[in-house]
Amino acid sequence: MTPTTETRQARRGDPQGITDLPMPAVEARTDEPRARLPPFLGRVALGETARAAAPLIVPAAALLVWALSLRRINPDAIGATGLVSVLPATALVPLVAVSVSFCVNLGRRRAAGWVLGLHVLALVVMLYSVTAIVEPEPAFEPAYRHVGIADHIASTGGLDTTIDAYFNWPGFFVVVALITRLAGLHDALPLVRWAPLAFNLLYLAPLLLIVRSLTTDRRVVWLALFLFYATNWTAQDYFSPQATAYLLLLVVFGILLRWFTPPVAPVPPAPRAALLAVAIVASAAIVAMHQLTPFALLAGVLALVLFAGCTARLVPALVTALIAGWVAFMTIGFMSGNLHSLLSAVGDLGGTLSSNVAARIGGDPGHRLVVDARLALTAAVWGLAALGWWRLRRDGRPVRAATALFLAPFPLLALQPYGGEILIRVALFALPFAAYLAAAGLVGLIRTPSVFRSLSTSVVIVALLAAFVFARYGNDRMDAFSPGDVVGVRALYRIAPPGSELIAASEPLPWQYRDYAGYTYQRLTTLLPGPPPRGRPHRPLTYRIRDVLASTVPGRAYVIVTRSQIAGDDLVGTSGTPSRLVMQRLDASRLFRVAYANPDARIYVLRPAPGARG
Amino acid sequence: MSAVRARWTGILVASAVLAGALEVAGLHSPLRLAVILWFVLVCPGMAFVRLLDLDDAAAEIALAVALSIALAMAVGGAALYSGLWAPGATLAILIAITIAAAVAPIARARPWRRP
Repeated sequence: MTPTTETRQARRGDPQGITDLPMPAVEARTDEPRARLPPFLGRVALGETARAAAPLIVPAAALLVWALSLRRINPDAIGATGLVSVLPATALVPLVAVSVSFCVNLGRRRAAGWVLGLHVLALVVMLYSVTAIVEPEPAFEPAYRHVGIADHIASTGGLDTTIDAYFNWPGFFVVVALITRLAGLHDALPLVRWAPLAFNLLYLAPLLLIVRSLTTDRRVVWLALFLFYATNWTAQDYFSPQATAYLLLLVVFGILLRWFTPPVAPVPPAPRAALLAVAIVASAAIVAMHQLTPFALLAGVLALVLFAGCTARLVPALVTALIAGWVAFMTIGFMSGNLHSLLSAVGDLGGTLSSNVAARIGGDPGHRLVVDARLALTAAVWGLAALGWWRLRRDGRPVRAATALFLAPFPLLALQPYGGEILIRVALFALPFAAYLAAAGLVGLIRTPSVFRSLSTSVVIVALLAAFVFARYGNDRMDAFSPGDVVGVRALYRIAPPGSELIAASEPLPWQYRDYAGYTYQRLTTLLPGPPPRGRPHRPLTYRIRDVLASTVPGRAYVIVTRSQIAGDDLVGTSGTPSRLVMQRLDASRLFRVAYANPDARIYVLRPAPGARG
Repeated sequence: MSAVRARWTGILVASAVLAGALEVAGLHSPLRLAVILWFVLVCPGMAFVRLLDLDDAAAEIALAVALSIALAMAVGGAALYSGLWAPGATLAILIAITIAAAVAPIARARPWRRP
């Protein structure tokens, strides 16, 4: 054991190191290079090698069975409960097998970190690459939009901050534009499909940094990571600024926890200053990248300084200055027209809860099950975290830093409803610390190795995973796009000349990935919100749509209706006229003609008025 | 300089040279995408982070990726805001930063982290 490790363990109130589990001799000798390798790599005897490699059999076999089982899935059959409705048992059993194997290894006195780590890796691959493999097209409408914004920046080489909010926080798009051009890609679409897996793999290192700063117990470390991945249903890891900003946020928290929050290992002044500089640079990148994450960062660093004794006391002031400076000088284009609406939401907790919870509980019964799974999963993680917090407090272990960072994002609820997503984001920001606290609680169950205790932990994890597959992939019927949806949008760009008004019946739609500023993008749900008020003379839907089209860019307005929009309306409802009804009415109307059709998409244009020229 | 540090210096310099060569050659291949992703998202940050001698692979990777993203954003963003958007020139700056930081330990007689 190195002196540094010893110091950290002693200061964390864990003088014996891994209190209840003596480390295996081969791992305790961290000064030997061989200790870093999986033990079987350094052994000659075949029997020992087989014994050492045995813990790998389950994750390896699970991955193989899982991969083979995905070949037979028909994405067209995805139902109201999402991907789980088409996943065969052979794709779900491997998840259970890896979870049970992980818990069995966790319960062993000689649990090796690399074995637990490989189980976590197998879980990450299975959970976060499944959609990339099963679904024929990349999912999530915003991911396509983000491709379009990066493409606009790359092709124009400029930033028009009046286009929309994205151009006022362009950090992510600058990096994407740079990479696509340097890699010789036409656009960033090839990066979208595998982004969730890539981001989750990238989260591994900062999560390890964070949890290893909070505990020296190897089992808590890996269980915390397993729980993080098994419960992160928020799906904010797609191709997006928030996914990248979250990565940077984890790194900043990791730096502050490891080197600046007691108990800290002694670090000479020069590297300490350099580490602080890295944290500040990463904070600046977060501020330039995303609207909400900087406030989660500020809340976190403030909580660390105020409640956990973090010695980097200038960081909250620096982050505040970065946010204020960026908003004051770099977002004028957006703020000048939106400041009032942003400020009016501050403190409206009732409105926030209404838009974040009440408005989401509705739609198809299958979707309600998905929402229930999300609420239950979040409540379960927070409940397990409370259990872990209680156990740590009872045992006299340090808990202030984890508690401070777990609670820090909750004040954001009073700041903004964030389009009905603030509760999701708060759950995400709190998750690493909730997972750590939950892991600390669950490890207590298996402190004494026994099959029963390992199985009990397995049952908890499998139950969480069961909720996860509904919560995470429950909206896939609308979030995932069919080839017909994508081909329909491609046809829209082919038919509509630049400058046209493109109108989606509702959402989602895989568009805006090109010519971001070359067209005007609208939705009928915004242009025609809801039915006409009672008492007003009823005007047929087709006439109202015609009026909308005629008032925009006459002759160059296009309405597109796709399978994904109909699925979205069916699943979560709509504030306007359902897409299916729009399609039926426009099909039957003589005012419109079908400019393009495939089984999943239809494009309509207004017929010229009789006697009109051109 | 330890063998690990020397190996990293070699990897970083080779990655920088390869990224530059692929860009100049204009090769359209998945290899170019892989090299550019590796170089832009890992190498500039790693060139600095390994100077810290953290002795923790996870910490080094985490910090390297964060710093690389921030550097790419800073250099690319500066070019964009100043109206001088040029991905090739941005890459050249990142290559220069990477190589300078990668070979810095060679130029130093003794690392400041470990006497």
